[in-house]
Amino acid sequence: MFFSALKDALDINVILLTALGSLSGVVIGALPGLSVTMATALLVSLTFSWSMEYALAMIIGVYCGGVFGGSISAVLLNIPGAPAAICTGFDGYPLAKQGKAAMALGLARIGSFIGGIIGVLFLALFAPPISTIALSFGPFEYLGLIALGLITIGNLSEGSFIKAILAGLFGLLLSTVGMDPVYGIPRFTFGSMQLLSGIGLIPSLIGFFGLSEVIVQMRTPSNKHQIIKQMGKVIPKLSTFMKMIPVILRSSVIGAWIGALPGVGGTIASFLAYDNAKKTVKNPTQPFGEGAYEGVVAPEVANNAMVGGAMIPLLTLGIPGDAVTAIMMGAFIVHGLQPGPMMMINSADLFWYIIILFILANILFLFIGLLVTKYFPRVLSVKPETLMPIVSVLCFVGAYAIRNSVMDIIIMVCAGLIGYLFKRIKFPIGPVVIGLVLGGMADGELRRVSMISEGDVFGMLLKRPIAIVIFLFALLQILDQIGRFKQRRKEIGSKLFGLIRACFIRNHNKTK
Amino acid sequence: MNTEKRLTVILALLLIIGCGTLFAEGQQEVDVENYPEREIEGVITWGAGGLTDNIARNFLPLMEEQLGGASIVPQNKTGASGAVGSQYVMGKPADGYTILITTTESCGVWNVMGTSDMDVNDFEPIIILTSLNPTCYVRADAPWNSVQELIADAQSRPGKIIAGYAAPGSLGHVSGLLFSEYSGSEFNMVPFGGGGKVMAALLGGHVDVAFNPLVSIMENYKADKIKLLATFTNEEIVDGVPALGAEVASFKPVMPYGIMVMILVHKDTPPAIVEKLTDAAVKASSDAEWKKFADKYYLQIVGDTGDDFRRTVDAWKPLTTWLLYDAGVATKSPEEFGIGRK
Repeated sequence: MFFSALKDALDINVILLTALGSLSGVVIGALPGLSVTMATALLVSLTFSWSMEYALAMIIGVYCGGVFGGSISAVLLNIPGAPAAICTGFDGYPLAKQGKAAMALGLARIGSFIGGIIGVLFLALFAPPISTIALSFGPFEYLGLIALGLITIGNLSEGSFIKAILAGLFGLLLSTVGMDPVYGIPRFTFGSMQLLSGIGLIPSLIGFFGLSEVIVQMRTPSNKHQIIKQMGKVIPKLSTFMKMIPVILRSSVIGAWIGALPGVGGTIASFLAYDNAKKTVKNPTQPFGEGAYEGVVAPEVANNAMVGGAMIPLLTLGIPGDAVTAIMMGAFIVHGLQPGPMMMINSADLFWYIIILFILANILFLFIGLLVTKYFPRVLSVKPETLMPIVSVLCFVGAYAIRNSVMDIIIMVCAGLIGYLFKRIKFPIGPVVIGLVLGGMADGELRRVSMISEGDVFGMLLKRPIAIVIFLFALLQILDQIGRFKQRRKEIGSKLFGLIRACFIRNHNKTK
Repeated sequence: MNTEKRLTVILALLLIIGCGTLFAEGQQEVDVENYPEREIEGVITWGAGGLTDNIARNFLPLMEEQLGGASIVPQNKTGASGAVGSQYVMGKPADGYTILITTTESCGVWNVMGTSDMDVNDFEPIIILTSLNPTCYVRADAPWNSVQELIADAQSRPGKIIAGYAAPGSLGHVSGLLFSEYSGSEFNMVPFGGGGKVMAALLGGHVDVAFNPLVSIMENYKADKIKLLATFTNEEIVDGVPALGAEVASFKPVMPYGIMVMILVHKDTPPAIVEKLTDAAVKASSDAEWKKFADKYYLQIVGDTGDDFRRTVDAWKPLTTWLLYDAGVATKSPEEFGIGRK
């Protein structure tokens, strides 16, 4: 089965289409304002009349390319192409300003490659068991994960902690706009039907990061513009790279696992991976937020490992894991292919074909990506007077195209003005978007938890060991902010570890 | 100061672009004789890859053939249970170049749900394509093997069995309300925000029972991950799955129950164009390929047009709207809209 699938995949047309797909994915994803969701939606519709093998090659190429594309604009212009690329910009943009844009993109590319491959391996080797464990995640566990995500707000942003929290709360508030998830009652819509579906994430992302950056650049006198001529090297030194292996491994596990949970998506994966890297890496190449290589690699790895992970619920259960896999599912169905448990049984060679395509896309894309990476940073040498009008047009196009809705343009412009204001008063924007992403989910999960437990939330929680562990972990993250607590915890931790080791050694000796 | 001025100019331009797109729709004379002479926009009010989208994308090409050349371009305009897309069609010229593909579960319940003042009667009907009957299903290892067992258990411990549904007012929600109302049992009904999430929660054991059309749960059914207890019909439509109306007598008068997918146009569309569209839709509806598609997914082809269309939807309304109102989900009484109790 594997080999027949391999034979199908090594067709020259398939390889060319995968390459073409990933290249177009990168280009669309890299245009600020246009997202990977849009890239897939646009290009997938082209493939409806093709044969399934060719269509799949194109779709998978676009998906892999598009996910990476979003980080290019994040690094070069500080305008993430997708919510998941926000963290890449935290350290990627400072690197670009230091004239190391090519290096940042190279790191992102290699990180994406490794993450992507590990994610696919997860899919290939453990799809059925992972999907079983993922199913055991109910509202309690999801709420715990969302709590973990919200806690990262304090750690993710530079500068004032209070400002970050306030910005996060602002995002949470924004997420309450629209139809309430349980009773369908309109909240804060002021009678507007367009607002019933809430504040769109993509349009507000484009506004907060894209349009606000345009305004900032336009207000900067032209003689103060920083024109970067120096691009730096693309491929990092082997020793720099070896140092990052632990971060890469941790981030890819986070990414693949979060991806496998239906409906959580890459955004949380990259937040958690960045947060994890920031906490665990003792000596980053530069401090986090100022251009740490680890800060670019961790979210990129997680983001791409998520791709493989997100395919698990789609292929094993017929449940799309995020917005992009939902579009892919539509494309599968158009080609007469119903993803779900039967697909693994009836068309196992197709399953392997998909896996091989993912690996192929990642390998092809490593080379294409590293080649184009040399040229992308040239964007930085374009004068803002030329570049920014183009960016603002793309912002409008991107906001409109996601749902063909004028309301989304209005949301984008408002978000742009608010984002500009935030930048003026030095409030971080990242937490607003995190609040917006997680707020809607938190709302639904929290109310499901209370509905399922019929008010006895604590009693129900005690019956759910995984949820308890997640919540305790979240609690620990908060308590760790108190310096003395962290110290005590480490002491107790090492003592406990010593104790366990002692027991183990004694038992070991006994059995001898 | 220079930059300030530049900024002002740019912001003004942005505003003009924004407003321009809002008012760009000019009125045009309609050439009824030569209709259709350009492409038609098919507005689907639900997301890409979903149920309605699938049905629409399979039907529109067949209808296109009957219209003689003019292509129908599907466009998804989602939001507010389909009200956003419908509002868009209403704002377009009444020239037949924008058609609306939506479901009864949206435009039939907006007014009682308080989503929008619009109603299905504010549009000109073309055709009811299909009716999708939900099924009542549980996990394969669930203790209940028939609807009777499920009902008995739900009656003995009211509100303890968890029924999952996608969103307030959705088919799964209304079917669940209908099921408990006519069987005299009580479930703990919990919304999960999407059909896929309901399935994940059911397979993971967080939800005990759910109600959805067969087409969206087929794969898990074939893989024996779930068992179907009954379909919301009076006759068996799926081999080996009993009809709810035949199993439990109290359901008989309200079966078959289902969601309907339909095509509508702007209310002021010239009658000659409505006729051309209806004609094409009816012919496409009897196409062998469409029948094949419907059989594959257990869809019931309806094909009602004109007055029959109105009668079918009017007959559908009382049960659903009153169920939603009695359960406290709908905010406005159906009586306000002249819908009497059935």
